[in-house]
Amino acid sequence: MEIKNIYKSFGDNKVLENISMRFDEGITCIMGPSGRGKTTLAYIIARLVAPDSGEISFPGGQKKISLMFQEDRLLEWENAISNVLFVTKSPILGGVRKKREYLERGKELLTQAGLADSMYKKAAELSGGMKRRVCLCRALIADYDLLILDEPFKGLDSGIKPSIMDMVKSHAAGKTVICITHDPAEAEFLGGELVAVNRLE
Amino acid sequence: MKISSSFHKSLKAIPIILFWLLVWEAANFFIESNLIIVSPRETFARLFALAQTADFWRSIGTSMGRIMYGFGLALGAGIIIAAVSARFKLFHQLMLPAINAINAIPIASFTILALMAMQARNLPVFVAFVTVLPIVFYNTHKGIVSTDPLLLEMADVFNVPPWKRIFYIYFKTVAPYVLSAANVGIGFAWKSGIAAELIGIVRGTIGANLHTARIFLQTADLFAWTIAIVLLSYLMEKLFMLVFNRRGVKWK
Repeated sequence: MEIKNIYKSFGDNKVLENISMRFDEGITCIMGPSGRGKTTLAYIIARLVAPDSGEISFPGGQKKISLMFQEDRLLEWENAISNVLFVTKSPILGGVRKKREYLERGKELLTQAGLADSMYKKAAELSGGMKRRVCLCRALIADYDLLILDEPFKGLDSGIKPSIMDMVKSHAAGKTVICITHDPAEAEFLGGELVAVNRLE
Repeated sequence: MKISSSFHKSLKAIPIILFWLLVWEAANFFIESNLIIVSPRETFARLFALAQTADFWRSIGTSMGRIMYGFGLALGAGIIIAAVSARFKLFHQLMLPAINAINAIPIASFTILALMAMQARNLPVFVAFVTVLPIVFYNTHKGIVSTDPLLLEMADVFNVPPWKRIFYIYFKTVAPYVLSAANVGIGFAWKSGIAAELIGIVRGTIGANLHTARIFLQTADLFAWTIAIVLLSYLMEKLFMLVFNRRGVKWK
């Protein structure tokens, strides 16, 4: 996936100026301090925000994108497993086998994320770190070619963080993953290509 | 725990009810005219006597059926119009003046106009409908537009199908608004429906019984029917809350 000459301003605030990048298979970490346009770039790639000018090209046509937002954006009234399954393509009627497959996959992901005991707890009852892990599982269960993770480890305690980072690494195999972070240690752990920015230009 | 707290609440209400019954009794004592006011004892005795007749229950059944029919139609139409309005701005601009007009027109005007256009027996249905429609529309529309845009954006990214968005996002956000509109609307439907029956003298209804009591100066009947209306309205609101609000709390 490639972006070419991307420009984006919000009013007088020039956020992105002439950004060109290429993202290949594996993990690419975009690292830099807050307020440098990293999230805006992620939203442009995810087609949530239109650039003022520039080009985004996917070899072989449009690709399916999954995004882990910087905010949790969970259905607070639903439990963890429902939140994860929300983004799956289960049909409204029938499709029992498909639904069962998604359910098993969802449970597997939540278990990997250390949430085996909390999968039937409502999102509103989960701690900040647990919510982040549910968000990660939601992003991972979606059918995607390109996965964008915006500050995926924010709020995770140091005990669980390495295993969650390992989980991301294992799921990145054979996929294109963009990970946005402001923590050099996270970028180093994940490995892959590193794009360090002070200002995206 | 729940039963004991509601039981205590009922116990606390008893002295208040007794106080107002005493005020009523005192008013009856001082006014002394049985044409203007009758005592609580006479009223309840008459209500008890009426409750033993088949006509009493038939009138209640007829009124309740028609008013609830109008209420149900308004609930359905209000939700649909609000949903389409929230989706299409032009439709909202078209509908809003009409709903505002329906809301502003007095029930009496509606009833008189409707009397000229439709059969009297349809009057309570129509009047309950126009009374409840704006309440449901305003509330539901408010609920839909207050749906968290970040959740909708999340659903866009994952290409979540419309049925899932409706069921998991809109339904859960809008349900408390619809329930609150229905809770208020049920009382309004009841009052306006009976007023329509009275103005249109719709045969075999509570409104027609009130009319007869007024014509023949049967003040005890008038009071008894009024008590019956108040009790039925209270019961219907409680029943509605029991059936739907429990689910509403769960939804939240």
